[in-house]
Amino acid sequence: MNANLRTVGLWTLAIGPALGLLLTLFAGTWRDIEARQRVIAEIRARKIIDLPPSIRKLVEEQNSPTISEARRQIADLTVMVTALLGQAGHVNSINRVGSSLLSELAMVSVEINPASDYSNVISEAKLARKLAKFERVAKQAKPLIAELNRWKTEAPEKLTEGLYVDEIVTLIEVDFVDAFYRSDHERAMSDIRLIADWATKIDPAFDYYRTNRLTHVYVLVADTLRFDFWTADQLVALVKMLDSPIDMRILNDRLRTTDRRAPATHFQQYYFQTDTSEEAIPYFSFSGLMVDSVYADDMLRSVEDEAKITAFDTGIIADQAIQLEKKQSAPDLNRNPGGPTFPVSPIISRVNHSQQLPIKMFEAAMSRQWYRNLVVAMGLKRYWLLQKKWPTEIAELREFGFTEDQLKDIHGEPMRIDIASGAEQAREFPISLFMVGSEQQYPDLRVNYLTGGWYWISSFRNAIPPPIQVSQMPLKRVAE
Amino acid sequence: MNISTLHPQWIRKELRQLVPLVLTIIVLVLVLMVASMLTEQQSTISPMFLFIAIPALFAVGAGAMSVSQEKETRTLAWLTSMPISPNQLVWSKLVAAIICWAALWVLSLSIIFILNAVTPSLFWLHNFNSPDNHPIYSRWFFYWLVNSFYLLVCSFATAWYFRSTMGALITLMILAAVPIVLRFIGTYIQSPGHALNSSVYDPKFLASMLWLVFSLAIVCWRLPIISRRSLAPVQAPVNLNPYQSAALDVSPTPQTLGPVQGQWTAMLWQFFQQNRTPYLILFAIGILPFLLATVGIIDNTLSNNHSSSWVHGVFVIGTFLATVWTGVLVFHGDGIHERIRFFSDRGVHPIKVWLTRQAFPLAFVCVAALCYRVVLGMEEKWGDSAVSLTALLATMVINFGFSQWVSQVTRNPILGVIGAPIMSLAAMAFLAWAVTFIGIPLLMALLMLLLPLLATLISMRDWMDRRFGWRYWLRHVAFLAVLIALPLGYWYRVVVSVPTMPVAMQLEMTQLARSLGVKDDPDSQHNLLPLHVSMGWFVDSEDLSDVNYAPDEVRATAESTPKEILEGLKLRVRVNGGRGIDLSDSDMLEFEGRILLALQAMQTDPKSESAQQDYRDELELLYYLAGQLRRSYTLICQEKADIAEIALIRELTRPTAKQAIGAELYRSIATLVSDREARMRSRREALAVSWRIFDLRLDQDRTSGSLGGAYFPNSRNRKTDFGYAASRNYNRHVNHGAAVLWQYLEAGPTASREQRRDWLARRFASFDSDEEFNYYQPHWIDYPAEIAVLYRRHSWVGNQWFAGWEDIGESLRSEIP
Repeated sequence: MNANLRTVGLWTLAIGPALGLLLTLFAGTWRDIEARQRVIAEIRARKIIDLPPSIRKLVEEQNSPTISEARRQIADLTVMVTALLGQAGHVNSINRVGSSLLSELAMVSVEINPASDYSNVISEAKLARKLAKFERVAKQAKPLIAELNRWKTEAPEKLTEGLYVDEIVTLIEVDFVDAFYRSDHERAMSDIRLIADWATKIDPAFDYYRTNRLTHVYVLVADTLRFDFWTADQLVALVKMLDSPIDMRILNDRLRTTDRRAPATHFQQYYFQTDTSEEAIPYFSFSGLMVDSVYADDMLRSVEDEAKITAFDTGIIADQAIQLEKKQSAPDLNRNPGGPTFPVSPIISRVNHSQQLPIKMFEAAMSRQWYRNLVVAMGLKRYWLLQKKWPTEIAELREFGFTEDQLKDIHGEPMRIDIASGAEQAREFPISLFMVGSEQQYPDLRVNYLTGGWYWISSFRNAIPPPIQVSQMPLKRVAE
Repeated sequence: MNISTLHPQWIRKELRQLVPLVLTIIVLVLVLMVASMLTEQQSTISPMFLFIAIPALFAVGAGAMSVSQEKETRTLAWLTSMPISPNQLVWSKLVAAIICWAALWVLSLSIIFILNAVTPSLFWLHNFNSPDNHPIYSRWFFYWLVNSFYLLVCSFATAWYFRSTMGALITLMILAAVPIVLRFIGTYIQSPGHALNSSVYDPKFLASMLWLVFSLAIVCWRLPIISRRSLAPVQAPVNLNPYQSAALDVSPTPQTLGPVQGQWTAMLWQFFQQNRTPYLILFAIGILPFLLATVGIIDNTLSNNHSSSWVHGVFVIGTFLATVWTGVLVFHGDGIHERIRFFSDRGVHPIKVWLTRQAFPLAFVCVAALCYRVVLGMEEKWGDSAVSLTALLATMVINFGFSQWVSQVTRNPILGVIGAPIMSLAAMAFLAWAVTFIGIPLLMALLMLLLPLLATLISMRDWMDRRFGWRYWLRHVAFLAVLIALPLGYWYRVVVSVPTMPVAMQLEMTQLARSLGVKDDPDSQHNLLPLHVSMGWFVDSEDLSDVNYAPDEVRATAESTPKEILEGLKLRVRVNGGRGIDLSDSDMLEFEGRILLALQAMQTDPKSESAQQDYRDELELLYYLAGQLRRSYTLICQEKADIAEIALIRELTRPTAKQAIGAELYRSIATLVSDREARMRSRREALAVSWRIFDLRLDQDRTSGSLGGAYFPNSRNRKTDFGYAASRNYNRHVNHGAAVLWQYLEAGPTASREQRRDWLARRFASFDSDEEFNYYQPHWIDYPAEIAVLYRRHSWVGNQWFAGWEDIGESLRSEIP
């Protein structure tokens, strides 16, 4: 071989790789600077997205030095609610006080197997003491509940005053349990309406668990369907009361708006010197190199993908949410084949806001599914009350005004009922309602979320509606 | 060969030859262990297991130390001229190495068990990933034992076979992997078609042992043949043309074939030719795992398996060792037979020599970094676990730089080959520690990264001239010192730049605290701490054991009347022997709510005597709590006392308060809330005591809430400073906050509203933005009726000091009946 050619080869071997690496680094830096400009522009664009007027007003009010009389009164009211819940034995929203108490009542009311000794599981005396305590609290709560009713109508926007809605809903639930146990139908109906109203007063921008709370009401009403409590007319009234309490499209829009803002707001601290000024100067320092802008850009774009979910009250939403979640858990987010040039800040990647929108939307869809299940379950109950027998198949409900669409789940699959053996004769025996597909439809989702950490498990397990049990169990009065 | 015929003197000679290797390995393992403990990684693998590596590392270096070194220094030829048979020579070397190897096993295990017995928490052995794979307490111990023996025999086989140390050592690495590869192939033949990372390929004891013993048997069989061949007399090459000179019988290079090259090119050629063979082997070590990793990833992708595969691990180790040994090769080849003197005698500039030595190894490192990035890019999810190209390059440069430094300092290729990976790991741990714990700036990290290269460059002239005097060593030590001092210096600078409390003020506060009973022992302050009361105590919980909350005699229930609760509290306070009471924020809210509920009941039924009495009882309870909170020397209790007093003032300022409350109780409460001086005194005492207790505490106990339970947000430079240094300066930050509050207590009453706002802003050293400044602003409760709204805003210590409510409280003095 020509000696000169070999020398060229030698030099290429010696300095070629270093040059190649330098070029790669240069290209990576260039790519990052470009992405950085896009991110800065995007943050600026999203910053000016208007907040919904109610939220803007609230933020302004919270930051204002003067305190209105209404805010003062609502704050006092919530303090009193906290104190009352303390006297009820420190119950809180996590306890799901209503549902757990109704379950206990169901366990002592029915004797499925006389051989089994329920006294080991549920102590009647203990239950009676708890109910007595609730009675005392309900008595004290009377003026507070009147106040809550008043605020609901007088100044609805004030009710978003935040943090204590959990406590308020819990107190109403305590009152509901008392009303239910004392067979005070009117109070029970009014409490259900109040809980639903308060649950819907929470603005989605402030509370991601809003739909969960609404589901909470559905669960509570579903739990009452095991007992011989409601009349046929009351059931009709309940269906109307709970119908479309939230405009899902508006909710969806708001979720999307806030979700678009969230990562942009979070990234601001890396790209701007201050978090407030619209005209802030982009911030650059060596620590700025700890942010991989290509990654940040991808995050912002993935939220844009989510924003494309438009369908709501159909099965498409759940499917889309699942698809999106799957996509994000797979390495598709990496649109950069060479990998990051600069280290990705763990702080940025941990705030993976882009995954929250599918979850919230899915929860909202499942909440809707809960409502549909509940309506059918109440239909079954009415069927019994009017016909004194259970239907043998779900289609019989059409006689009660149910359309074919109403007897399907949000995926369009027909629901089915599963009647426990002997249920036709023994009225204490529960009749169960199962929704087709609720277990089989999302096997991937469950596996995915089980490995995804506690957050996913808790939210999704609650979101997938279990079967509702319907029966005519007489309520047992317990004594100490 | 009869072992008994070996002369003890020969064995002793061989043992002496191995001593430096043994010492070096022990020191390096200790360094590595300290480094691994410094990083404080929550590893499931105990640092103790590093000791098991000592015999294995010895086995790797023994052959090279015993045989290769003698070959390179040409003493082997001299030995063969002695009255000793080749067999005896071979066996005495091997027996000496086996004696050392056995002694090291005994020593390592003894150290492990002794350290574990003395401090089991620091040197733990338990909690291994899975007990079945425990390297000591399971049958795998025998595997490690036999494996290290296999390495020992291999190291002798390669040392006898190869002429150069590097060749022997690098081939040894390949031989070391043979049993694993054989096991893998065996499993694959048995059950083909599985994904590469399938659990089918997990190591199983019997199969692993079988292949290891098989490989050992083969090497043992070949060893005597190889060694005898190596010691056989060298045969002169049979040359058919007697006129051809030996000098011309070399492989053709541009220097011999073409015109004379420039000096740079010639030196590059020289380096290339000199290290061709080891580079080829290193390239194989680097490229094989790369191919494996690529195949593994494709395989994973095809089988839709996204878990990280073991192939990736092989790639990481392969690339690491290849990079490190490339670093060693930078100076290794020139050191053999003092070749470097050729350049030094001809006056070639050291920088030129240095640069021509770096070019090829650096090219190799660059290729490795790019390959590595490609492999990672193919496999990983891009999240915070993604390794960026810059970080990857930095790691490679650490490996490369530190290993060449080791190679220049030690000059012994064996120590270099064994020591360089360990030193590189230690250096990586140190740099990672400096970046994450100390939080050094990027520029400093860059400097630390390049420091080893600088050290070798500066020492180049002496190294070329083979002048290894004290100046040479001192220079290297100085570089090492700078390397260690840089992060420590930075830490010191960061810490001292945070404002703190003047010494005079410290003395003043200490004196006051001592006069109030604070002892100098941080653990004996119990009698100064308040009684913690939880509302859980009042819960009539049938599922929980109430005994956990309180003694039986004062147990209260949710339905307990305020009088009962008060009696219970008083009894607890008497029994406790501490000072004052502490309540949680939510419990404070609950007590406040109880008063409002009682008030509401009273207003609903104004004629009800019991409702009126309930209201008074609730007030009396809160009055008692306010007094007890104020008595507490815990700073946060003073803030809660403020809230309790504000709630009391609100009740006292209601239109019909005097009548509803009753003269006596009204007088008591009004006296409490109007006594500004007593309040100031309590705050002052609580601040002094809280600060003193904080100051006496050990660093690790000074958590964010330890200044009397008050939280001090550490906002200073939060974007640039992270890690250990930032948390360390927290002490100074809190001291500064306490000093500002101390001064504020003096200046506050006479200061204007704006001045007060400034005082409070200075509590927290500095702010990054206006928004952050606003976030830490006080929400003063000027009108007690606003308590429920404002209390829920961020409550930093000192927020309610000298706010409007104090004036209202003081004005109540004139209302005292």
